[in-house]
Amino acid sequence: MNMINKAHEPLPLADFQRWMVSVVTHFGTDDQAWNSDVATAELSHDRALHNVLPSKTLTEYDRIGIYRRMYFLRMRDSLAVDFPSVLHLLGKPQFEELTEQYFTAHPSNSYTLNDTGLKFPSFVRSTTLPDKEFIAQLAELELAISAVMEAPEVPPISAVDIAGIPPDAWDTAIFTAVEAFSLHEFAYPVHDYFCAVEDKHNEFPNIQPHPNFVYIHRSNFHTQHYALRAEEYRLLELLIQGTTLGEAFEAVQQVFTNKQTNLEELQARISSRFQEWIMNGVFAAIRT
Amino acid sequence: MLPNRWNLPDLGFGVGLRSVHYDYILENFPPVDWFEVISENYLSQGGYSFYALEKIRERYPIVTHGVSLSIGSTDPLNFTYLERLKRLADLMDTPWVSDHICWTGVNGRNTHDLLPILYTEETLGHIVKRIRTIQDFLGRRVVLENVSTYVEFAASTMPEWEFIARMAEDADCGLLLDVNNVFVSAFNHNFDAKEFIDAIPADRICQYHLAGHTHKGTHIIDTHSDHVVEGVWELYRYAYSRSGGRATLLEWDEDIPSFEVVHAEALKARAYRDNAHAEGAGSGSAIVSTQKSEQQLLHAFANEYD
Repeated sequence: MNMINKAHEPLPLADFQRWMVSVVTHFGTDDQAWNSDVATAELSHDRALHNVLPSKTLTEYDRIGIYRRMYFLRMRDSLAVDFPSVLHLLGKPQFEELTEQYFTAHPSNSYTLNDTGLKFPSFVRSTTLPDKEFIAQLAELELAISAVMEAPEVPPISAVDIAGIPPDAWDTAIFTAVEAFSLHEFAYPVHDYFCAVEDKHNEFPNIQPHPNFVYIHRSNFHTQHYALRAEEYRLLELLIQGTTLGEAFEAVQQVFTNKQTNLEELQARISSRFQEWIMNGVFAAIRT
Repeated sequence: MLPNRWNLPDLGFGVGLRSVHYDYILENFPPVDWFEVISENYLSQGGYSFYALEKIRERYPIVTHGVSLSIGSTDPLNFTYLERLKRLADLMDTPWVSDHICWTGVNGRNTHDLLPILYTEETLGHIVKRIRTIQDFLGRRVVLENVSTYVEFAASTMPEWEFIARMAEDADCGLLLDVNNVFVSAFNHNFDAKEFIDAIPADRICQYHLAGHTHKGTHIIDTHSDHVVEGVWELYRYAYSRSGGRATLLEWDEDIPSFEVVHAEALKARAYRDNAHAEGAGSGSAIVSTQKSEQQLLHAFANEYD
């Protein structure tokens, strides 16, 4: 036991634990943490100081400070892993500042660090950050990619299943997507930004409203994200909502055929993408 | 030599399973005796991690090791977490379920750290009751690990080793003796590491942990970021001479090198075991002689950095 003794004073376990968490999770200085209203509501500064033993080389503040620093680093790293593009956009100092604000507002209440970022997009929207809607949507995209990575593996429909569908049954076919799949519409070019961070050869987009349509999909444990045109997005959206293939094609053609896009070109393009989705294993089942 | 009191298996020399090594393991199936997995990483049972674990489970024994049980917290037990843990333990057919003698948060707030216990009668009674509930719920032996700590409290009424020994007896649980954590805390709090080990009931030890740490001069941090230092190996040999064969595991969590390097580090434990055998495990003379060298080692650290 430590040679530097202080007289024993009984301390209720719950009071001690509430005090320690309030100090460890406070992002200010040691002095601010020990003297915060939350901490002193549990234990006065003097009583807390009496309870913490210094070592030969570290003061009371130093010793609790080890836990405080590790808490900050752990939470920062957790968000940095979840949101590498947001980190890239903001830069380390601003990202760290946002980390502190976020975890002060939304401390982790999950048994897993994987859940710590779930409220980050909505938190970003509540801030006064410039471009906060872009940042929030970028964070939503990154969360969506993580979710697909962790989704249960469900086998896609096989080539044999597809070959077995009679030609006249395709029109009324209804599709179910695999679990490791999600579809997104963003008002900002966040997918373009994400791709630019991921692949340094891509150009970074302007942070101005410009729609991005994306589907995220995992096959054989490789997670991919694909840009979609508006009509492709609409077709895929209708299909995963349970619209028959024939009705979905019809709806897309009605909306997207105009003077700039003739019907044959549109049909060829969306037919090609539909076949690509089948081949990529986007669908788990076809009901005819 | 003493078997553990439940005859839980000595699994040999294992390695903590980390995601950076999945592909190597699945391609090479190296001759590792067993793997320990961080429970929380697999509770969702989705994604590549769980796929890899299921494949590895086909060839190796798996033990689940958690970081979120928060056995010492005054918050109610989280039965959603425990249900998922039970499902994972059943799937892996883990011989025991391990976690830490610590708490991770309170009032629903999780720091995701292994926070230090206040060693009091109140804490002891609280933890013992919770361990018994959890063992009944899981239907498996709970094995709890001593953690590295960086602070002590005046309100504590007993040393850590007395607390652990009483906890294990009263709750009828197993112990995971992390000799690196003993070493780290002994330096940080200036106690004799062997006094700690001598106080631990050897027949309740089901597993050993070994790991590297980071010496900061004024204190040591349990980083699992390097090779095991000589003083920890000596402490392992000493502990082993008291307990006999127990599953032994090497943890490496930061700056993780290739699997071959991690595995080679784990296999060093075999040499220390053989050395303990040669000296006659459990003999008083071996204990006395190594205790002296260990004390010298710890004092050397203390003198260097004071």
